[in-house]
Amino acid sequence: MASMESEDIKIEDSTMEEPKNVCIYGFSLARISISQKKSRANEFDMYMSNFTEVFHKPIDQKAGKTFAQINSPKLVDEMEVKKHKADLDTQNPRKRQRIHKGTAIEELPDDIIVAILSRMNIKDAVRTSVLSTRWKYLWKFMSVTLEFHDKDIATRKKLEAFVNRVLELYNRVDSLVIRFSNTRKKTESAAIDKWIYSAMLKQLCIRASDATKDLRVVDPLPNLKELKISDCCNLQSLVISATNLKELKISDCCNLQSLVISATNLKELEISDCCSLQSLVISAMNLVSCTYQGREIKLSFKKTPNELTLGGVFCKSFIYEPNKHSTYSDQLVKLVLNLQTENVQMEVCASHH
Amino acid sequence: MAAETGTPTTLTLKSNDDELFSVAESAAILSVTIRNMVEDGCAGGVIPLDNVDGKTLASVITYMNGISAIPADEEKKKSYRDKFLSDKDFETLADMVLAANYLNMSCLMDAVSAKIAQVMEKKSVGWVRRKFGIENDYTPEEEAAVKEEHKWTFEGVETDDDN
Repeated sequence: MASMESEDIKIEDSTMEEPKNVCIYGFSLARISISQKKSRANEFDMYMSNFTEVFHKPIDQKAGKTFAQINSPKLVDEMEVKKHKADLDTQNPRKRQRIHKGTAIEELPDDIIVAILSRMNIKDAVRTSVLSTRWKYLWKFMSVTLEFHDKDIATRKKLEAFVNRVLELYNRVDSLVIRFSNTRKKTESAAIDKWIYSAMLKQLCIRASDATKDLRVVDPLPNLKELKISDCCNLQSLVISATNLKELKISDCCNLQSLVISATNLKELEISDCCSLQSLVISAMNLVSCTYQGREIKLSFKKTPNELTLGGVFCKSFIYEPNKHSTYSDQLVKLVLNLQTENVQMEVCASHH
Repeated sequence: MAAETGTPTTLTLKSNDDELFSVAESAAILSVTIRNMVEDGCAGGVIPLDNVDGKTLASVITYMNGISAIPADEEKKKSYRDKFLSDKDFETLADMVLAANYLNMSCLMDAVSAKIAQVMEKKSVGWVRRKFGIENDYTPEEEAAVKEEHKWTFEGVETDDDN
């Protein structure tokens, strides 16, 4: 707080270790000079009745007699000098009366800029690197789910090249979603393989790919934690072997016949609406929860999960033919049966006969 | 937490420029920051929100009331959010995103960030610099080098007279 008697106040940056918010209260003050080392410094709120001039001086010019004591309640990013009119509330000078002009996007802290970039498509986000030196690397801190849809890009070939380029360029991608529209020509399965094996990837979703009949997702996949495959209508055989995989969802793959899963650390497994499934092998020693919705198949676990959710025809089988399920049913901690109520009523009536 | 009498509890919030606002607790706890205060039992008196000014807080409270009046219907909530943000300028959006971050309101944070992201879409570098008050501190050589490195991101960008 500046002394009220002084006629001149000089504030030197050397008294501030970090940029601070500075409030100066003074009544007889006629002139104030502010010297700064850094260009990005402080916010000054000034409440001075006789305030007439503001000077900015470089720090090299040695300041004169009075050093103000500075109170520094919080860090403010940008220099902003607000001039308050002379008649402003002289009775109660300590009451903060900020005239809030609004914040420019540029004044936002880095973490919020990064949050904004994370909601942008990758191309627009990377382009922000040209804005200024501050923005040069901000986009690299986005936590991203990259989502590609081939309808945005002229050809599949271009899409492949684009995805490859981004994965090369941007090694912090931890989640990748690729969506295909079914109207286009096929993607080479080699391209999908490449994406799966992108070393840094933690999460991968492939939706509506008509590319491939057989897909093998096998180790080494050190970082892959989450894998979702859906609407892949040509897929017939799928082998997944990934040591660190924690979550696996496979849905709406209507021609999938054979599924082999071997994942030591798999915790959550969901298989739904794969209506052609004939063979299912699950080897997952640490499975906690499993959801299966679909046709009746032989379901066997090396280790029964604590939680089991069942739906569809298979669920009815669990009710009406309990013996078929006895290998695991007695070890369950939690069981959820998703029945369509109308059907159940019908079935229950039927079983009365 | 909720009053035992069954009448809705009201909280008093104070902005950093000393404006007071009263808001139903059920709406205010959309902010995790406020919810934590309520759960810790320190929301009895006036809740000071040191990082939010009155104008922004008024706007945030309008949002809290509006969104909490909508029953669990994601579609309707989304269209409310879109409408709520549609007439806001950049300065207001920047204030809102700071407030949402401070108040820990993920739904508002998401919506405002997405809105800001959306206005930057396909816009030229010059346009973004102008609208967002960004000073270009690259040397012409540096700028050319960064542009060259990320050349592929300039396809399909809206043209701009000053770019």
